[in-house]
Amino acid sequence: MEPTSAILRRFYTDVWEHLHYDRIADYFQPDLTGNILIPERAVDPEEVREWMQILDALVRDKEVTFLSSIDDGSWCSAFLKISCVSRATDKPVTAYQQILCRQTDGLLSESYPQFDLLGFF
Amino acid sequence: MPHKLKTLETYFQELWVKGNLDALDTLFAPGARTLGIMGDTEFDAEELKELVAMVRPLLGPITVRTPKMMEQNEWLSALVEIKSHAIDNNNPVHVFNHVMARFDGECMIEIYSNLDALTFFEQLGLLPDNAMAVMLGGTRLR
Repeated sequence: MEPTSAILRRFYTDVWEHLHYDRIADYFQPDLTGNILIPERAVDPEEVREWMQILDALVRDKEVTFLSSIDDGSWCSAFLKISCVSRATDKPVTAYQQILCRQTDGLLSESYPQFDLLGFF
Repeated sequence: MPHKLKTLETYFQELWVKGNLDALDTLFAPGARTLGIMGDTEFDAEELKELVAMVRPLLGPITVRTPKMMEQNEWLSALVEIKSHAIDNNNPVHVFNHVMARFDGECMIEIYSNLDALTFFEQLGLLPDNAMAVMLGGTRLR
C-alpha cells in the first residue's frame, strides 16, 4: 500500500501547485457508507474544485511544503506550509494547513482539512 | 492508555476544561514551542498559559472530544472537537482543532495546532457571521 502521505503529496503537487483541477477526482473517492468520522464535515471533490478556484482568485504561484506528516495504517496527518503571492498586492503570502485523511485502495475516502484562514486573511 | 494520548488528553482537560494552568509544566518539555495558534507567532509555555487565561473567560463550560488520534514514532496527531457557548451572547461554540505534537519522552516539545479560528470568532460574536464569505470574495472586512 502506498503511504497515504505520498498520495497526499502527489495531490498537492498536481492540483494545488500545477492547477490540474481535472485530476481532483483521481485522488478522491468519498466514502458514501456514512461510516466515517465526522459526516457533517466530509469533503466532496466538487468542493475541493470550488475552493481551489476561490483561492486562485486571491493568490498565485502556490507552493506546498510538507513540514511534518505521519502515517498510521490507512490514515495520515500532515502539517503544510503554503507559500504564494497575493494577486491584489503582489506580496508573498504564507498560510498553514493541517489535514487528516484516510485512504481506501489508493484513493482518499475521507479528509478533514483545517486551513488557517485567519492567518491567511 | 498510551502515554502520548494521555498527555494530550490531560492537556485539554486540565488547561482548557478546568483552567489548571500549572498542569502545563508537567506536559511541556523545557523549551517547548507551539505554532499555529496565531499565524506565524510561536508560543512558549508561559505565553500559552496567558492565552488560555484570556480565552477561557469568553466561554461557558468546555467539553472536548477526540474523534481521531494517531501516532508514529515520537509524533502524535489528533482531531479535537471542542464544544461550549459564548458567555457574551450565549451562542453555541462548536469548533475543531487539529493537533500534531512531537514528544520528548513523556512531554510535548513541538506542537502544531490549527483551530478553526475564523468560525470560533464568528460564533463568539466577535466577527460578523459572513466574515469568511466576504473575505474569500476579496473584500476587506470593515
